[in-house]
Amino acid sequence: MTEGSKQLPIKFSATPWGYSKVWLVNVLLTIVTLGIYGPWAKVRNTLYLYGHTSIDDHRLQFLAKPVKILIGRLIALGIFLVYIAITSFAPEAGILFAFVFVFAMPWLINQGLRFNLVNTAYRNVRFDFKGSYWETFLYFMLLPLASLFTLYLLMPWVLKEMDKYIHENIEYGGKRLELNTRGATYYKAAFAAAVVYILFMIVAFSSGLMAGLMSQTNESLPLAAATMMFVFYVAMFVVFYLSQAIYVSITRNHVMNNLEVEDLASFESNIKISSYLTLTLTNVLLLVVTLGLAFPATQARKFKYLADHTQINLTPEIDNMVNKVTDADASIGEEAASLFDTDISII
Amino acid sequence: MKRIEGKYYFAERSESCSATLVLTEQGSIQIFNDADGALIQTSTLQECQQGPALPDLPIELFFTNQDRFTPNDVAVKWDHSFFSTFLQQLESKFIYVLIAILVLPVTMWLIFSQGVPAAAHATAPLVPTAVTDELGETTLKVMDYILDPSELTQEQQDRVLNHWRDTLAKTDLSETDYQVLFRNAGGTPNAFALADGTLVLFDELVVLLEEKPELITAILLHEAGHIEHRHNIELLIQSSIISVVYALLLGDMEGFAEIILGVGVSVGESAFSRRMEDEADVFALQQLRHAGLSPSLFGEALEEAFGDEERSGHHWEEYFSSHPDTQSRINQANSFEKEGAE
Repeated sequence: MTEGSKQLPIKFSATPWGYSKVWLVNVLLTIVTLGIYGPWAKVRNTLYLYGHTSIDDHRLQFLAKPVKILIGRLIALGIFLVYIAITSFAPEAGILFAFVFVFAMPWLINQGLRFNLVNTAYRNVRFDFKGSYWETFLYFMLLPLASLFTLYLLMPWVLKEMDKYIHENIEYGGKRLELNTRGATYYKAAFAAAVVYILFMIVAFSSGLMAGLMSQTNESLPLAAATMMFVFYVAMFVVFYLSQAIYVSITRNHVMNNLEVEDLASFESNIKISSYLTLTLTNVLLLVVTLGLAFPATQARKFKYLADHTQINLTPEIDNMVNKVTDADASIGEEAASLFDTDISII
Repeated sequence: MKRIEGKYYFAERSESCSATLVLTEQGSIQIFNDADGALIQTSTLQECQQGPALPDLPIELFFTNQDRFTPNDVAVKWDHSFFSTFLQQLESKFIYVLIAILVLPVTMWLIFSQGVPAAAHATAPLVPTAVTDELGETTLKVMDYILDPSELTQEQQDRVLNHWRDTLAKTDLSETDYQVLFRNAGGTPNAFALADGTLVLFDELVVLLEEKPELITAILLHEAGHIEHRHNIELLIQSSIISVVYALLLGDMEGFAEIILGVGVSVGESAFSRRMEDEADVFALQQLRHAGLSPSLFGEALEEAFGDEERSGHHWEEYFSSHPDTQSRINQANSFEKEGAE
């Protein structure tokens, strides 16, 4: 470590209940205003989470302006309405739209990433995303397609390349991130996730079957079928979250431990698979039991866990950083991205 | 005069220091660097902008040169105006959260089960006929990719058409408003209506009810009811609105919540469809009576065509079905009959 470097924990002071209060009230306000308040709700939710995250007693900043998000949303809405209108009368046009959408995707992804990063700042210095259209097209469209042809065997490698692409195009105050990951770890993670997935799917399937068989003794086939489907679907969600958790706990550690900014920062992550799995399992159960309303609480719990298991090493250079981002306009892409579900989260 | 401890951040760079802000009664501000006591900023409260106020977070003060001061104590308030902390109040007091939890499902239900259908119902009549005609034509073209040409004989088709025309002549309906077409659907007896007035009968249905063309007419009247009430266009508008509203309201939620609420929305959608089927049923029954035919004919047609289907007494299954329970539709036809007789 460079002389004068500090090893710093990440402090996350938001509580599950505290964040739930903010989130619930904002959801209500959004619904009551038929969605107009949505951008403000989103910004406030993020401001709350970021504000409660601090490194070295300096809080993370979120600088997005809700009005810009609203304009972006209205434009995306306009495009969506045009799509509905045209395809009602000329279903063939749907193919054209799909084609256009495929080529718009890399742009949307980049806009979304750029918007989130450019509006994130630490000590007045903003982050930035420098990826290009064709690179995003390669890593997000072509490579996954290629992996499809290898029956997904190439997928862990593709995911490693995607992570590397994203992280190495992130800048802080003009300094680039560097990531030196190994494909082997991704394969290990994917394998572990697949094993969990298969094992639990067997359990889920048989429990669904059992539930169905047991309720069938009451001469009602539809009820039995419905019970089986219901139990199966719930079990499927749990399984999905669990296998995802295994994958994340292995890859996130690997990525964080190998991430650095030259002469400025390095990171450490020590997520434990068992405790992260327990966290995820309790979160999923909470979601099921509260029909999704516990979502903010699960977010807060997850972020607290991640913060508690992450450390940042900062050199004295951190006091000399200068903000390099002047153009902070990327709202159209962000809202189009979330309207068409191409959001990507990094943390 | 107040002394407030905090941090001072210089604009556009990471430089910062521990600082003390001195605020006078008149609102003038002076900020001193804690390290050496030097004066680093002078301003007045008027010139400054406040940052957003969020629960348990400090409210920042921004100066004209974009430097900012963050108090260490989250309870520090720069002015006591209502608006600056209104939202923060809503987001932290338990009573508001309780209201949110209670009002949320009610509001959602109101929007999707009352608001959206009402909006669709109100706008459907406003759509010009040119548009609905175009819609009907396009849908038929699409359906013809799946359906085969009819294999009925001219005689079979004429028998249906003649009874249909005769019945229409006894009502206020005009024959030119409708166009009856025949198609082969490969096994299912059914019929449907298109937005431009086209009624499509499947061969299987015609063959099933061949001996009693009056039953086919009853079904055609039900389909005509859909056209009369402009259900096709209403359904289209409705599902468009739902997609849009859904995205606007719930677009920020992720994962499970979205799915749970989505189930609620589709349950609501089935309810709309059932209401429309009911309206078409009533239309058919009224027209049958008007033409001097027995409304129970419709019940008989349902029995013949759909009677073999599982008729369970489980009411909850109804919530997911697009048509009302067959038995209750037959019952309705029969009670219509009785009403007329009285």
